[in-house]
Amino acid sequence: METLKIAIAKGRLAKYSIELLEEIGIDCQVLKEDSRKLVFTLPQHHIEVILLKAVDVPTYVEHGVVDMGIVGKDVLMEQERQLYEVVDLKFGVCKFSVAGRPNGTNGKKHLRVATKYPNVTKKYFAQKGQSVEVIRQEGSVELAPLMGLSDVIVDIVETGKTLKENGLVVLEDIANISARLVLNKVSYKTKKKEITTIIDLIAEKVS
Amino acid sequence: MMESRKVLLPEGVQDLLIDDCIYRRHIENKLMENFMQSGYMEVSSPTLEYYDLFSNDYLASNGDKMFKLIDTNGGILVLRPDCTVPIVRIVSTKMKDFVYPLKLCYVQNVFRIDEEQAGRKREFRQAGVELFGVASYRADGEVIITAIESLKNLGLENFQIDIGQVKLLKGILQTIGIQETEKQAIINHMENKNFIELDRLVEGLPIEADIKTILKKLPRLFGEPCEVLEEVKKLPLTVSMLEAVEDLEKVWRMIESYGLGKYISLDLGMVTSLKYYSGVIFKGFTKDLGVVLLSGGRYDRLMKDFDMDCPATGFAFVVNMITKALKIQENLKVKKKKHILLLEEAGSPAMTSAKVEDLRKEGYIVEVCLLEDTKEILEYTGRRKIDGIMRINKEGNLEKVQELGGL
Repeated sequence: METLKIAIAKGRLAKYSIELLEEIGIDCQVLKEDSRKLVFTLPQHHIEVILLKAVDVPTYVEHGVVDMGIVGKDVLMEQERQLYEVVDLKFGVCKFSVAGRPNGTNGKKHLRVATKYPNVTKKYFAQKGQSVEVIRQEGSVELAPLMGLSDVIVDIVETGKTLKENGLVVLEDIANISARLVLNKVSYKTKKKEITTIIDLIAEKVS
Repeated sequence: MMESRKVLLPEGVQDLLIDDCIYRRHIENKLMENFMQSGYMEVSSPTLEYYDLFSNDYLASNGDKMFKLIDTNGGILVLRPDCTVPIVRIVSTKMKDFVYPLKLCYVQNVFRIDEEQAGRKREFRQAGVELFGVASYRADGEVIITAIESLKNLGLENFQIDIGQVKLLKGILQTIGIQETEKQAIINHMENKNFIELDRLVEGLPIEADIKTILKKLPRLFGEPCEVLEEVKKLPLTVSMLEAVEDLEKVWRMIESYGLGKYISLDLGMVTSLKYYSGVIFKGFTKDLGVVLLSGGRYDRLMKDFDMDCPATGFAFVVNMITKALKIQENLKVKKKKHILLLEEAGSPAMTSAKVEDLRKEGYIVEVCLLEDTKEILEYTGRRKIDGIMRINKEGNLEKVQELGGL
C-alpha cells in the first residue's frame, strides 16, 4: 500500500478539512493536539498530513512533493497551477467580489484596485474591458479605499461584515469560492487505486 | 543589487559540479547510444532561432514563455524553446529528399520562462527522437518502445507511460456547434480533470445527449488499458471516434507484443497545450517523483506549417528529471575508474610519460603528482578519494607507494 501525502491549508479551512478526513474514517486525533508540528504521519491509514500556508498548497501539489491537497478556489484561481481539481468540497464558501464605497466608481474610466489577488483582478477587469491599475496588498485590503489608496478592492467576501464595518459595499461579484480537493497530475496516475478510494469517499460525503 | 548579481545566478539556471557532470554525461550518453542503436541519427540545431519560425498557434500559447533577443537587423530571435519545431525546420529545408522513414535524435538545451515539465528550471536538457514519414500506428509504437527501452537501460524502475489520443476530443469539438470559449473551457476542465465543472458545463450545452455522455466520460477513462478500452467501447462512439480508439489499441497491442505491456496505461482524457499534436500522445512518469519525465506524440499537423505532407511522431526526455528520479531510487550507478596518483622521481620524463600512457590505456585515471610536501599529498589523496599512490623507481618500473582504496 502506497503512502499518500495530503497537504491541508492552515487557517479558515483547516478545521473543516480535518473534520472531513475524520468523517471518511481517518483518525486525525494527532492533528488536533496543540503542537507546532507541521507533518503528521498516520501509519494505520498509510497517510501523511502536511499543514501548509494556503498559498503554498498548490506549489507542493504541483511539484509532486505531496499527492493531494485541500485548498480554496481563491488560491487556485490566483495561481493557475497545473493540477487536477477533482472535488468541490462545498465548505469555506464565499465569493470573489469587487467592493467599494456605496456610491460606486462614479463611472471612472480608469480604476485603482487594491487586492491580495492581482492575477484574478487583472483577468476579471481585462474581460470587462475596464482599464485598471492593480495595487498589491498583503494585509487589510478594506483600508485602501478608506485611506484613498484605491478606488475599489477585490477580495474574498464571506459575510460582508468586515466590509460593512469599514463603510464598503459589494459592487460586483466575480466568482463563487469554496474548498477544492486537488491532485498532483502524476500521482493520480501512479497511485490511482489509493487516491480513487479517498476521492470516492469524499465525494460521497460532500454530495 | 549589482553586488549580488556578481555572485548569484539568474532564476531557473544552475551550475553543475563534478559528480553532476559525470551523471549528466553518463545519462545522456546512454540515451543517445540507445537511440542510435535503434537507427536514429543525431542532429543539432542552433540555440538561436527566429521568433517567426513558430506558428501563430504555437506562439499564442507559448510566445510569452520564450526568451527573446533583438538581432542587429531588427529581427526577433529566441533561445530554442522546443527541439521539435527546429528539427522540422531542418527536415523541411535540408533533408526533404532524404530516404524515409527518417529517424533523427538529439540532446539539446531548451529555454523556457516557466514550464510545467521542468518545475521552475528555465534552462534544461532534452534528449529525444523524431520519426518522419510513417503514418501507421507502428511509428507511434516504435517511438514509445524506444522510450521504454531507454529508461530500462538507464536502470529506472517503477515507471509508467500514459498514452492518450488527441483525435477523440478534437474530433468531437470539430463537429459540435458551440462557442470557441466553451470549447476552450471543455479542454481546460478536461486537462484538469475538473469533473464538477466539466459536468456542469456539458449539461448546459445545446448538443446531443450521446456527445454529452462521451464528453463527461472521457476524463474518467484512464488507467489499465484493458479496462479503459472495454469502458470506452460501451460509449456511443461515431465511426471516426472508434477508429481513433482502435488506433490507440493497436499501439498498445504492439507494445504488449514486445513484452513491454506492463509499462503502459491509457488516459483518454489526456489533453496537451501544444496544438500541433494530431494523434496518439503520451507522457511518462514514475511514482517516486511527481513530475513528467518524458512527453511526446504524433504531430502530422506541424509538418503542414512547413509545406510538407509528411506524418511525424516523436518524444523528448527531460534529462534533469530523469537524473532526479534515478537519484531518488538510488539507481544512479556510474562505474568509477580507479584513480592513481603518480609520484615523479628525478628520472627521465620520457619514461614517466610512457608509463602513464600504458596505465591510462588499461583504464586507470592517472594523475601525475604536482605536489611536493608529503602532508599535502596525503591530504590531496584523501579529499580526491585516490585509490593508490605509485612511483616509477630507478629501474624504470612502477611500484606501489601506498594502497588506499585497493588497486
